Amino acid sequence: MKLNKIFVLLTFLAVLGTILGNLMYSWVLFTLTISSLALFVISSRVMPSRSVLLSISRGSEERKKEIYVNDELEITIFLKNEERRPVLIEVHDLLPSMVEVIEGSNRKVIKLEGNERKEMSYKISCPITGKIDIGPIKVRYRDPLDFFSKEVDFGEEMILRVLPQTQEMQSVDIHPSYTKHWLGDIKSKNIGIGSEFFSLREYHIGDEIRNINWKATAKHFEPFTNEYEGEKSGDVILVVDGYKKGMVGTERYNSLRVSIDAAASLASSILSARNRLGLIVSGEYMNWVYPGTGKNHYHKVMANLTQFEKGGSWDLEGVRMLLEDFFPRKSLIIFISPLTIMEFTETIIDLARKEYDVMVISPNPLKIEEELLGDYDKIAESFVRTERKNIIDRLWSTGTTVVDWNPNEPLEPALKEVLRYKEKM
Amino acid sequence: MHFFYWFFPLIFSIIPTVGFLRKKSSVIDYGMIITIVSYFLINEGLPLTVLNIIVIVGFLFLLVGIWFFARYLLLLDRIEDNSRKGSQDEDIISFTRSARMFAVRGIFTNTLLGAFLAIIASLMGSYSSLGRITPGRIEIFLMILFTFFLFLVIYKMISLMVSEEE
Repeated sequence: MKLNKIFVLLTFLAVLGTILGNLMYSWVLFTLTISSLALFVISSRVMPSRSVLLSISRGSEERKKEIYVNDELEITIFLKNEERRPVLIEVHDLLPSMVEVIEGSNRKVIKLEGNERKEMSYKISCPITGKIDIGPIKVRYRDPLDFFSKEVDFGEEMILRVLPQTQEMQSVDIHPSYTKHWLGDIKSKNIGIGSEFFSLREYHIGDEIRNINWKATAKHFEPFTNEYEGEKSGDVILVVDGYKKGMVGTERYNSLRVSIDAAASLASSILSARNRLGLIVSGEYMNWVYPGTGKNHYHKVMANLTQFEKGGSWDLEGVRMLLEDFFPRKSLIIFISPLTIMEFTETIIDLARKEYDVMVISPNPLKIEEELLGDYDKIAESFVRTERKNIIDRLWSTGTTVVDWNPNEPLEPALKEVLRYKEKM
Repeated sequence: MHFFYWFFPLIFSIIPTVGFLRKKSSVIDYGMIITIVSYFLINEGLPLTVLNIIVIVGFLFLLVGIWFFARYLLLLDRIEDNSRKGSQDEDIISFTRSARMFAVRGIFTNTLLGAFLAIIASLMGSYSSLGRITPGRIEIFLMILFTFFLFLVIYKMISLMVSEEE
């Protein structure tokens, strides 16, 4: 419980009355002391009790929730006055600054009659990805004379994971050049397990009955079996550049945010093509996920994409070491970087020279600046543009596929165009 | 000259009025303290009668009531400003209505009860000992008793606050 300023001031008046009354032998000044004391006694009647007089809980019992960027989430809080007398309370559900309240309010003043139950709800949305803590619910009670105020934290914190918005990328076929033995969607040009018809051959003992071509068997009076084009899959590793010093844009819209969105879209597309997907996010810490498949793996990748912190404590040598020592060789490595840090570009070139199949998706930082600022220095722009063009040309010369992506537009067309160009080469 | 002193509370009451208009609660507080003290000092020489006690205590509680009400209006104004962010207008209107009614009723009841208690205590104090019946030593004894009681109440409030934090 907190004593407010008015209580201190009234105490001062009471003490002053006593001192002056003693000095001047005046009954008038003593009434000041008596009156102040009378007010203290009366106000103690309405003082908040020591025990909690309210019961406050969240509408949902789930402590962890997942939403996508810009999705709406309704938060409900139930309040009940356990006492007989009415109370006026301020309720404030603490929200981080990046969360937007789109309907209602997370801060309200509510009057509760004795044993009354009320509900408070509001809707939020979050424009950026990440892990968000909602709560605790802060409740403040004041007595009518404002002598005392009591602040209590209610309800457990709710953890909200805001996942990046994924784009549809069905028409883009991203596949590694080197395939592995396990089943996938990549046509291997060899006979194997698949769905596309390849040729006919004579029946051998052990062939599956369902693969027998009955039409050919009837024609030649001996059993024939269908052969199919093998469909395989490979390993794809996404490397997201989370270095703070190379980040371009504001807190809400920057190269890192668009990189994460692109990584999420690519992860969904790669995994749906039955490839194994690995992830490395280099920021304040190095987050990495060993290649795997399936729905659980997708959630693991998403969790790592949303939880990491931008920074730059880790050396780029760490990324290279991780790729060379822990991740499978002959994988397709997709770097998502604005290419603003020279060391990152050098690492990509170095890996491309080895036996890795490397692709770079680079959100154009100039387009981000253009979107945010509208107008900027043309000379500086031409310098940066030339520098960026040189880096991209250098990467192409080492056999790296580079997608120069305008983040204000969808990724799919840009990626499709580059892949088509690469096929023609 | 004493007639001139009667204007002191009126002059000092300008300070809390300005504080209220400028929405500065500390100006209201200090202005009200000066006004109350000046009001008591000009009444210092009054004879001890029941009527005088009632008038002095009654007028004091009128000032205290105005003081609390002004502070509460500012407090509600501040809460309202905070709640306005992202809230619907209907919420604000209903909140203001219920909060003001709640506050006015609370302030009125408490100050009225306080005034009643203060008058009873003053009458009991003055008629049992102060000045009229037994001057001298008992008067000093009661002064010490009042001071002790005052510090006891303050101590109880602070100890309550400390035990709450634990």
